[in-house]
Amino acid sequence: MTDNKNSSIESSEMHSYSGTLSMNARGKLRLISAIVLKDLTQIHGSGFIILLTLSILLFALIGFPSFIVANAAFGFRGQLHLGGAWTATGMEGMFVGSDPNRIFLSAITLVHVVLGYSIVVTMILIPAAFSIAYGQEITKGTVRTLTCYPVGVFEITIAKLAYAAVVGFIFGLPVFLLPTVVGLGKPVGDLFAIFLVAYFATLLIVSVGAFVANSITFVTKKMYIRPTLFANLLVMFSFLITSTILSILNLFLTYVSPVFRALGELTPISLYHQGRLLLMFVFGGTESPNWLIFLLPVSLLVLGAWLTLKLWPDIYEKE
Amino acid sequence: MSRLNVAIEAKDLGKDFGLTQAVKSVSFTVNEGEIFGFFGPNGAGKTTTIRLLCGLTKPTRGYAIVCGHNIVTDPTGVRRHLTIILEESIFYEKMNVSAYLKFFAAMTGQPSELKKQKIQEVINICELSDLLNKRIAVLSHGQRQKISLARAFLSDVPIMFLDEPFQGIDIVHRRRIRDYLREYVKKGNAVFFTSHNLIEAEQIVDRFAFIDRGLIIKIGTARELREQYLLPTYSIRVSDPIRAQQVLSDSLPVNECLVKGEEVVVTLKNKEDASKISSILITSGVTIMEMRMVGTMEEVFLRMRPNTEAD
Repeated sequence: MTDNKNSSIESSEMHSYSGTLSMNARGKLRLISAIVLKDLTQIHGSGFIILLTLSILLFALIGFPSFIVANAAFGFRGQLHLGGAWTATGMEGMFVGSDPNRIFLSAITLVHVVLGYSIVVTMILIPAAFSIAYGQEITKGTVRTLTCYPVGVFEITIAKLAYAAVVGFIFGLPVFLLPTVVGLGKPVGDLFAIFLVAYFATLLIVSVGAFVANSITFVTKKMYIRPTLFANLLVMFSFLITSTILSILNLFLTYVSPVFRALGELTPISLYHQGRLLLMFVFGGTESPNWLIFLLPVSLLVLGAWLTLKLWPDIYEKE
Repeated sequence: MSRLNVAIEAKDLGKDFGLTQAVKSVSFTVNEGEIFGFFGPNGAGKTTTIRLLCGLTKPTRGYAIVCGHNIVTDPTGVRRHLTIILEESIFYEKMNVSAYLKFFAAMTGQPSELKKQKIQEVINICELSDLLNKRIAVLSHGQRQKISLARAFLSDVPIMFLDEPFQGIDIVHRRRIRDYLREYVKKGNAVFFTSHNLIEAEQIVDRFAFIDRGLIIKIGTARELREQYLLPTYSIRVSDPIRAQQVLSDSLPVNECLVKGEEVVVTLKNKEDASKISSILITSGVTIMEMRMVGTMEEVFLRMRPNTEAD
């Protein structure tokens, strides 16, 4: 109304922005971008210290030592060479599944090691960034000021995921690339591809976790489980049910083999597992991912997003 | 928003929290160009009503149309047309004031040139120039409230919801902000205002609505409500208060007629006699400088409540 009564150029611009904002994606995107930018510029303080500490720990305690050891181990184990995958860059095997009693004992290749580290980096940094941005907004109650604007639970979730994506990439890439390049001397392009697979798999799992948690909130009418917590649990679960992790666990905890056997049935739904198969496939291996499996997270994401759109902002109050 | 006469229309709006009916059923309209005051005791349902009207919580029953948008079917659309100050503002404590204003200016979605203008405008209105580089965490309660108001004023929207906006604000700034709000509604916008301070509200509110236990008990202008609920008491500034006291006491059935400085304060037995006061005084040669009805909205509200209890 103010702008209706004012004939200035500014006023007409103002009028058009409210009209444009009406319901188009660009208007929503502008609000989401504003929230992401706010979070990025406010990353200093405890959030930055947490992410930096995690990065340094990953870098120093896991990155360098594991790749120096891996380089040495894989370098002289020609006799365990597994032909096929990543042959151009020298993929070799460390363990071979020879014991019929240890059903999950399988070959561990350099792709396993590099992807494993990449997953560890992303599965720590991306959920941490998501938790810092979303968790603090909810805990401190500032989210209630955000919802005074035309943003709902959906837009806030998207904004926090976008923030986690940016921060996870900025912190994760150097933490991953530096030790792998120095430690393995493999082509950077290959290493980057492995990182991207882990990065997008983690991001997708975190997103699915967040939107499924919102769906649970929609059904129960109360935020019994926060998107951040559910996303973290889902990431850990996806990592746990990969064949490599089950194999390693089974080596040390044989008395609970039936549990691992049961969990092994779920291995194909792990995006990390499918990611490894995808990489093997790309690097020239014979295995290929089950493409249909990718429909599961995508379907959950779409369903979760749809239900999230129906949530009212007061879920942040009832928590 | 196009030229609608009604900015907000609530119809049988209600909200339950479990078995508790926070808002039982409220119906009212807020017109363009008015400051609508919404008052009531603690727990009466004021804040819940605001939250309903802003599309922040789903109504259990009824609906409201805010700027042409139904709060039930398009709650986000509703919030495109309004700006809100909730009773307890929660801040990004580590941000400085300048960054805070820039962020929320970005949340309004205005073009960048307008954002700059708006930021400068609210800095001037709320006198924030000395605070711009300070972190919000170090600010006093009153300064924080000014920042909340500045945030709300950044939006160029047709409706403002202000829940206790003057808490902690000093007298000088209260006046400036009242003036700003008055200018705002003159342009055809509307303000939905709540406060516990009815005396202050009288200076700004055009129409009052009183809510108690989730029900609206009365809506009206200050004059209408005073006339309905208070004894007809008038304070009249006159040229000769002693003479005025004498003629009014002799000519009209009065409960009380007192001289207070330059004024004579008369409480009539019959409301209908109010129209006779001026003619009696003029005929007696007393000049009337000013005449106003006495009684605060607080008194009005206190007189209303027993009726509700009786109901």
